[in-house]
Amino acid sequence: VTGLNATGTEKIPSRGVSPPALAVLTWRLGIGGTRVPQSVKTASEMTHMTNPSHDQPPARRVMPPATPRWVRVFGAVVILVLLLFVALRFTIFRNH
Amino acid sequence: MTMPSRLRKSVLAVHLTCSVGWTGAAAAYLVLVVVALTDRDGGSVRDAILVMESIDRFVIVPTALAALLTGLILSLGTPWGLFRHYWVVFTLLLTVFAVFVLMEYSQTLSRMASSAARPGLSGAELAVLRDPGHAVHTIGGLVLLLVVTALNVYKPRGMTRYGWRRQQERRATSVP
Repeated sequence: VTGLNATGTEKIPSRGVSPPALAVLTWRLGIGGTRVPQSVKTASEMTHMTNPSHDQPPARRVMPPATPRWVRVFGAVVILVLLLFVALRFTIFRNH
Repeated sequence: MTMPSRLRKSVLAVHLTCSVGWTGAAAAYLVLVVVALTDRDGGSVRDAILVMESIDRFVIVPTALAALLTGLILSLGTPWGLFRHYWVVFTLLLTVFAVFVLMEYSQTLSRMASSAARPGLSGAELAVLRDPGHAVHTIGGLVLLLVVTALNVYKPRGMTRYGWRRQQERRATSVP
Protein backbone atom coordinates (compact mmCIF):
# COMPACT_ATOMS: atom_id res chain seq x y z
CA VAL A 1 0.00 0.00 0.00
CA THR A 2 1.41 3.28 -0.96
CA GLY A 3 0.16 6.74 -0.35
CA LEU A 4 1.11 10.34 -0.79
CA ASN A 5 2.28 12.58 1.95
CA ALA A 6 0.77 15.93 2.73
CA THR A 7 2.47 17.72 -0.13
CA GLY A 8 1.70 14.90 -2.53
CA THR A 9 5.22 14.76 -3.83
CA GLU A 10 6.66 11.68 -2.21
CA LYS A 11 5.33 8.23 -1.60
CA ILE A 12 4.95 7.01 1.91
CA PRO A 13 6.48 3.54 2.36
CA SER A 14 3.99 0.74 2.95
CA ARG A 15 3.46 -0.46 6.48
CA GLY A 16 3.86 -4.05 7.47
CA VAL A 17 4.52 -6.15 10.54
CA SER A 18 8.03 -5.42 11.56
CA PRO A 19 10.19 -8.31 12.78
CA PRO A 20 10.60 -6.99 16.34
CA ALA A 21 6.82 -6.68 16.75
CA LEU A 22 6.35 -10.20 15.46
CA ALA A 23 8.92 -11.50 17.95
CA VAL A 24 7.13 -9.76 20.82
CA LEU A 25 3.79 -11.28 19.73
CA THR A 26 5.13 -14.84 19.59
CA TRP A 27 6.81 -14.42 22.94
CA ARG A 28 3.63 -13.15 24.58
CA LEU A 29 1.61 -16.05 23.10
CA GLY A 30 4.23 -18.51 24.29
CA ILE A 31 4.92 -19.91 20.88
CA GLY A 32 8.26 -18.36 20.22
CA GLY A 33 10.35 -19.90 22.95
CA THR A 34 11.47 -18.42 26.23
CA ARG A 35 13.95 -15.93 24.94
CA VAL A 36 12.84 -12.42 25.54
CA PRO A 37 13.28 -10.35 22.43
CA GLN A 38 15.60 -7.43 22.85
CA SER A 39 13.03 -4.97 21.63
CA VAL A 40 10.62 -5.71 24.51
CA LYS A 41 10.49 -2.84 26.97
CA THR A 42 9.40 -2.79 30.56
CA ALA A 43 6.37 -0.78 31.63
CA SER A 44 8.44 2.13 32.77
CA GLU A 45 10.40 2.09 29.55
CA MET A 46 7.23 1.97 27.48
CA THR A 47 6.06 5.24 28.96
CA HIS A 48 9.32 6.90 27.96
CA MET A 49 9.52 5.54 24.47
CA THR A 50 8.61 8.80 22.84
CA ASN A 51 10.57 11.94 23.37
CA PRO A 52 8.07 14.69 24.20
CA SER A 53 10.20 17.26 22.43
CA HIS A 54 9.76 15.37 19.16
CA ASP A 55 5.99 15.73 19.32
CA GLN A 56 6.12 19.50 19.62
CA PRO A 57 6.63 21.66 16.57
CA PRO A 58 10.07 23.26 16.39
CA ALA A 59 10.25 26.62 18.14
CA ARG A 60 9.85 29.43 15.64
CA ARG A 61 12.81 31.76 15.72
CA VAL A 62 11.65 35.37 15.82
CA MET A 63 13.68 37.50 13.46
CA PRO A 64 14.16 41.26 13.86
CA PRO A 65 12.12 43.39 11.45
CA ALA A 66 13.71 44.56 8.24
CA THR A 67 14.96 48.11 7.98
CA PRO A 68 12.15 50.30 6.60
CA ARG A 69 12.63 51.84 3.20
CA TRP A 70 12.30 55.40 4.46
CA VAL A 71 15.22 54.78 6.85
CA ARG A 72 17.47 53.65 4.01
CA VAL A 73 16.48 56.61 1.81
CA PHE A 74 16.71 59.11 4.65
CA GLY A 75 20.04 57.71 5.79
CA ALA A 76 21.47 57.97 2.29
CA VAL A 77 20.31 61.59 2.01
CA VAL A 78 21.78 62.47 5.43
CA ILE A 79 25.11 60.89 4.52
CA LEU A 80 25.17 62.81 1.22
CA VAL A 81 24.43 66.08 3.00
CA LEU A 82 27.16 65.42 5.55
CA LEU A 83 29.67 64.65 2.80
CA LEU A 84 28.61 67.81 0.96
CA PHE A 85 29.07 69.82 4.13
CA VAL A 86 32.53 68.40 4.74
CA ALA A 87 33.49 69.03 1.12
CA LEU A 88 32.29 72.63 1.31
CA ARG A 89 34.00 73.07 4.64
CA PHE A 90 37.40 72.21 3.22
CA THR A 91 36.97 74.04 -0.09
CA ILE A 92 34.75 77.14 -0.25
CA PHE A 93 34.40 78.00 3.45
CA ARG A 94 37.95 77.04 4.42
CA ASN A 95 38.72 80.50 5.87
CA HIS A 96 35.90 80.26 8.48
CA MET B 1 13.37 54.79 33.58
CA THR B 2 10.10 56.62 33.02
CA MET B 3 9.48 60.13 34.24
CA PRO B 4 6.35 61.04 36.18
CA SER B 5 3.64 62.55 33.98
CA ARG B 6 3.82 66.02 35.47
CA LEU B 7 7.59 66.23 35.09
CA ARG B 8 7.42 64.85 31.56
CA LYS B 9 4.90 67.49 30.53
CA SER B 10 7.03 70.24 32.04
CA VAL B 11 10.12 69.09 30.17
CA LEU B 12 8.03 68.71 27.00
CA ALA B 13 6.77 72.29 27.34
CA VAL B 14 10.34 73.59 27.70
CA HIS B 15 11.47 71.44 24.78
CA LEU B 16 8.71 72.69 22.48
CA THR B 17 9.30 76.30 23.48
CA CYS B 18 13.02 76.06 22.84
CA SER B 19 12.59 74.23 19.55
CA VAL B 20 10.02 76.67 18.22
CA GLY B 21 12.10 79.57 19.55
CA TRP B 22 15.16 78.23 17.75
CA THR B 23 13.27 78.01 14.46
CA GLY B 24 11.70 81.45 14.87
CA ALA B 25 15.00 83.07 15.76
CA ALA B 26 16.61 81.44 12.73
CA ALA B 27 13.83 82.87 10.53
CA ALA B 28 14.37 86.35 11.96
CA TYR B 29 18.11 85.87 11.51
CA LEU B 30 17.54 85.11 7.83
CA VAL B 31 15.94 88.53 7.33
CA LEU B 32 19.03 90.20 8.77
CA VAL B 33 21.23 88.06 6.55
CA VAL B 34 19.34 89.28 3.51
CA VAL B 35 19.88 92.87 4.67
CA ALA B 36 23.58 92.26 5.25
CA LEU B 37 24.09 90.65 1.87
CA THR B 38 22.01 92.97 -0.29
CA ASP B 39 22.18 96.43 1.29
CA ARG B 40 24.71 98.72 -0.36
CA ASP B 41 25.05 100.94 2.67
CA GLY B 42 28.07 99.92 4.73
CA GLY B 43 26.46 101.20 7.92
CA SER B 44 23.43 98.96 7.48
CA VAL B 45 25.66 95.94 6.87
CA ARG B 46 27.65 96.67 10.01
CA ASP B 47 24.50 97.14 12.10
CA ALA B 48 22.98 93.96 10.70
CA ILE B 49 26.08 91.95 11.61
CA LEU B 50 26.04 93.33 15.15
CA VAL B 51 22.37 92.48 15.64
CA MET B 52 22.93 89.05 14.09
CA GLU B 53 25.69 88.38 16.56
CA SER B 54 23.46 89.41 19.48
CA ILE B 55 20.58 87.20 18.30
CA ASP B 56 22.97 84.33 17.79
CA ARG B 57 24.61 84.64 21.18
CA PHE B 58 21.57 85.39 23.31
CA VAL B 59 18.75 83.56 21.54
CA ILE B 60 19.82 80.96 19.00
CA VAL B 61 22.67 79.25 20.86
CA PRO B 62 20.84 79.04 24.24
CA THR B 63 17.62 77.75 22.65
CA ALA B 64 19.55 75.23 20.54
CA LEU B 65 21.43 73.86 23.55
CA ALA B 66 18.25 73.78 25.63
CA ALA B 67 16.34 71.99 22.86
CA LEU B 68 19.08 69.36 22.58
CA LEU B 69 19.28 68.86 26.35
CA THR B 70 15.52 68.64 26.91
CA GLY B 71 15.20 66.33 23.91
CA LEU B 72 17.75 63.98 25.47
CA ILE B 73 15.91 64.08 28.81
CA LEU B 74 12.57 63.39 27.12
CA SER B 75 13.83 60.47 25.09
CA LEU B 76 15.60 58.86 28.03
CA GLY B 77 12.70 59.49 30.40
CA THR B 78 9.95 58.09 28.19
CA PRO B 79 9.35 54.69 26.55
CA TRP B 80 10.52 56.13 23.22
CA GLY B 81 14.15 55.76 24.30
CA LEU B 82 17.16 57.23 22.55
CA PHE B 83 18.14 54.41 20.19
CA ARG B 84 14.93 52.37 19.93
CA HIS B 85 13.20 54.12 17.05
CA TYR B 86 14.78 55.31 13.85
CA TRP B 87 13.06 58.69 13.90
CA VAL B 88 14.50 59.43 17.35
CA VAL B 89 17.99 58.43 16.21
CA PHE B 90 17.74 60.66 13.13
CA THR B 91 16.42 63.53 15.21
CA LEU B 92 19.31 63.19 17.64
CA LEU B 93 21.93 62.99 14.88
CA LEU B 94 20.56 65.98 12.99
CA THR B 95 20.23 68.09 16.13
CA VAL B 96 23.77 67.28 17.28
CA PHE B 97 25.04 68.12 13.79
CA ALA B 98 23.11 71.40 13.77
CA VAL B 99 24.42 72.42 17.19
CA PHE B 100 27.98 71.53 16.16
CA VAL B 101 27.78 73.67 13.00
CA LEU B 102 26.07 76.45 14.94
CA MET B 103 28.89 76.58 17.48
CA GLU B 104 31.52 76.82 14.78
CA TYR B 105 29.57 79.46 12.91
CA SER B 106 29.06 81.46 16.10
CA GLN B 107 32.82 81.77 16.56
CA THR B 108 33.19 83.12 13.03
CA LEU B 109 30.31 85.52 13.56
CA SER B 110 31.82 86.74 16.80
CA ARG B 111 35.06 87.62 15.00
CA MET B 112 33.06 89.42 12.29
CA ALA B 113 31.14 91.39 14.90
CA SER B 114 34.41 92.45 16.53
CA SER B 115 35.67 93.84 13.25
CA ALA B 116 32.27 95.41 12.47
CA ALA B 117 32.29 97.25 15.80
CA ARG B 118 35.49 99.07 14.85
CA PRO B 119 34.91 102.50 13.29
CA GLY B 120 35.92 103.13 9.71
CA LEU B 121 35.43 99.89 7.85
CA SER B 122 37.46 99.43 4.69
CA GLY B 123 36.03 97.98 1.50
CA ALA B 124 37.84 94.67 2.05
CA GLU B 125 36.49 94.36 5.58
CA LEU B 126 32.99 95.11 4.32
CA ALA B 127 33.35 92.38 1.72
CA VAL B 128 34.32 89.92 4.45
CA LEU B 129 31.20 90.88 6.40
CA ARG B 130 29.08 90.19 3.29
CA ASP B 131 29.98 86.55 3.37
CA PRO B 132 27.50 84.27 1.55
CA GLY B 133 28.19 81.70 4.25
CA HIS B 134 25.64 83.54 6.40
CA ALA B 135 22.89 82.57 3.97
CA VAL B 136 24.17 79.02 3.52
CA HIS B 137 24.29 78.36 7.25
CA THR B 138 20.93 79.98 7.96
CA ILE B 139 18.99 78.36 5.12
CA GLY B 140 20.64 74.99 5.79
CA GLY B 141 19.82 75.27 9.47
CA LEU B 142 16.20 76.18 8.79
CA VAL B 143 15.76 73.25 6.39
CA LEU B 144 17.28 70.91 8.94
CA LEU B 145 14.99 72.22 11.68
CA LEU B 146 11.94 71.75 9.46
CA VAL B 147 13.00 68.17 8.71
CA VAL B 148 13.45 67.46 12.41
CA THR B 149 10.05 69.00 13.14
CA ALA B 150 8.41 66.79 10.50
CA LEU B 151 10.12 63.71 11.96
CA ASN B 152 8.86 64.58 15.43
CA VAL B 153 5.31 65.23 14.25
CA TYR B 154 4.85 62.21 11.96
CA LYS B 155 7.03 59.76 13.95
CA PRO B 156 7.48 57.31 11.05
CA ARG B 157 7.38 53.67 12.00
CA GLY B 158 10.54 51.66 12.30
CA MET B 159 12.32 50.12 15.25
CA THR B 160 16.06 49.65 15.50
CA ARG B 161 17.53 46.23 16.28
CA TYR B 162 18.36 47.44 19.77
CA GLY B 163 14.78 48.62 20.28
CA TRP B 164 13.43 45.35 18.95
CA ARG B 165 15.63 43.34 21.33
CA ARG B 166 14.49 45.46 24.27
CA GLN B 167 10.87 44.96 23.24
CA GLN B 168 11.36 41.18 23.06
CA GLU B 169 12.99 41.17 26.49
CA ARG B 170 10.15 43.19 27.93
CA ARG B 171 7.57 40.83 26.44
CA ALA B 172 9.45 37.81 27.76
CA THR B 173 9.54 39.21 31.27
CA SER B 174 5.90 40.30 31.21
CA VAL B 175 4.65 36.79 30.26
CA PRO B 176 4.43 34.63 33.44
